[in-house]
Amino acid sequence: MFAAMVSAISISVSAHAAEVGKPAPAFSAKDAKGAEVSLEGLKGKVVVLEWVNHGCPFVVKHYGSKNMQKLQETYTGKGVVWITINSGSKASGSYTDNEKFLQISADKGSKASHLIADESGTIGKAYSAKTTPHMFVINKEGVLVYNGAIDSKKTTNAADIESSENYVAKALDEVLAGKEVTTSKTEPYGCGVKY
Amino acid sequence: MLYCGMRTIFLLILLMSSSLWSQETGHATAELWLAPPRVEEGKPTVIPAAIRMVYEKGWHGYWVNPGEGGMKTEVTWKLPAGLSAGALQFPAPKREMTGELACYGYVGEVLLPVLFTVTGALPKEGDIEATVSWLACDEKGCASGEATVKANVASVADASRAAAVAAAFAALPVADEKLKLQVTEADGWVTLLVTGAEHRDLLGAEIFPVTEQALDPRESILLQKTATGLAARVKKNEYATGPLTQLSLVIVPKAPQRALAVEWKK
Repeated sequence: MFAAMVSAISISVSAHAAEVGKPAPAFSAKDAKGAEVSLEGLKGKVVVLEWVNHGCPFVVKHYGSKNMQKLQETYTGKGVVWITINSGSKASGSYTDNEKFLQISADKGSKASHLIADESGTIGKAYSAKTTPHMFVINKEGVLVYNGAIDSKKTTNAADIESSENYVAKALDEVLAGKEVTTSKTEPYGCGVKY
Repeated sequence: MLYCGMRTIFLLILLMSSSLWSQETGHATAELWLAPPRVEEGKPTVIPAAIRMVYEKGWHGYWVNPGEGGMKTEVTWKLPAGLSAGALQFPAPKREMTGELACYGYVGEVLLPVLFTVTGALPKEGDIEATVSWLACDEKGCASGEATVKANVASVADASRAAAVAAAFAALPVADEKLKLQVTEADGWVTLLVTGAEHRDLLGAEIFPVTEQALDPRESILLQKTATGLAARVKKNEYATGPLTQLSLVIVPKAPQRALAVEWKK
């Protein structure tokens, strides 16, 4: 309880909206292990923000199939910082405290660099995160270069993953190669974030 | 012996049932309802049918354009030889909220019509098998569901189910050649102008976009009277890529009348 309160209180964000091609809204927060995470401090690294709720069938699609974990492993292996955020509020029933968040993520085999329980929804609202999953990619200069869905098939069926176009992998490959992101905004699909 | 005979009769009744089973996962049930084959001189024989979805109280399912988040109901078929399935059709939806997401869908019971066409002689036996996948959500969460439902083509259609299937077809949005839709856009707003509607009472009618990622789903789109016809102004969908070039809409009159389907192409 105390840890969760500290986590919620420590989150701060800048005021401007998340817009592709513009600086990503700055934020700082304590992650589920108590480490300070600041977007400003991650300049020079490519950053992925992933909104999560493990009770959502669309999230289950990507974790049950290990699709999300493989993406996390592949790209953190290339120096990307992957931050998984739960902005579900206590009232919505989607909130997980730090201990539970760590446990669920370990059980799922998550390879994320940080987990943040954004109970107040401060980071989620700053990014206008709508769904779980909802994915954002920020380049080394701190500019938002991708905002949208994980892939092209708006279903809960894991069998669709293989034939989908993975927008996040494509954006990361392009940004890591120093290229412009060709598909920079798509409609996210999934359950609501449950602010 | 008597037991075996009764068992056989029971199994026959079960097999002849027009919907072999429905399943209760994902906060909804699915069934396959058949109407009797329609045989007309000079036309292929067809079997009208519907997937009947019943959502638990407080939960909703999704239209062909699910809006924000959500997922349309889909079916994959296993059919007897000589039968082909048309597209699953969707009656006009209602606006629903899934937490903070605006979507288009259904509550309670909905029948999604489908027409089977008999390509040769009407099969005397055989199951039509549908694997139905859906998403159901309430204010707090979502659940996916899947059910495999069957109906035997030789089964005698239950009269009340046949009537419900016929009513579902009769309620589908229908085109009206007199109605013309014009679409213009400027500064992130889209104006929909409907003309040729003098013979209909469409004032205050609600518009639902069949075309995805075209119009913002967060506000109701209602037709208002203007000097040039009935019009509605709506925010363009933030995920639309480039200018709109095509738009399919369903118009639901305020009074209980059949919904209308209108199309626009640039």
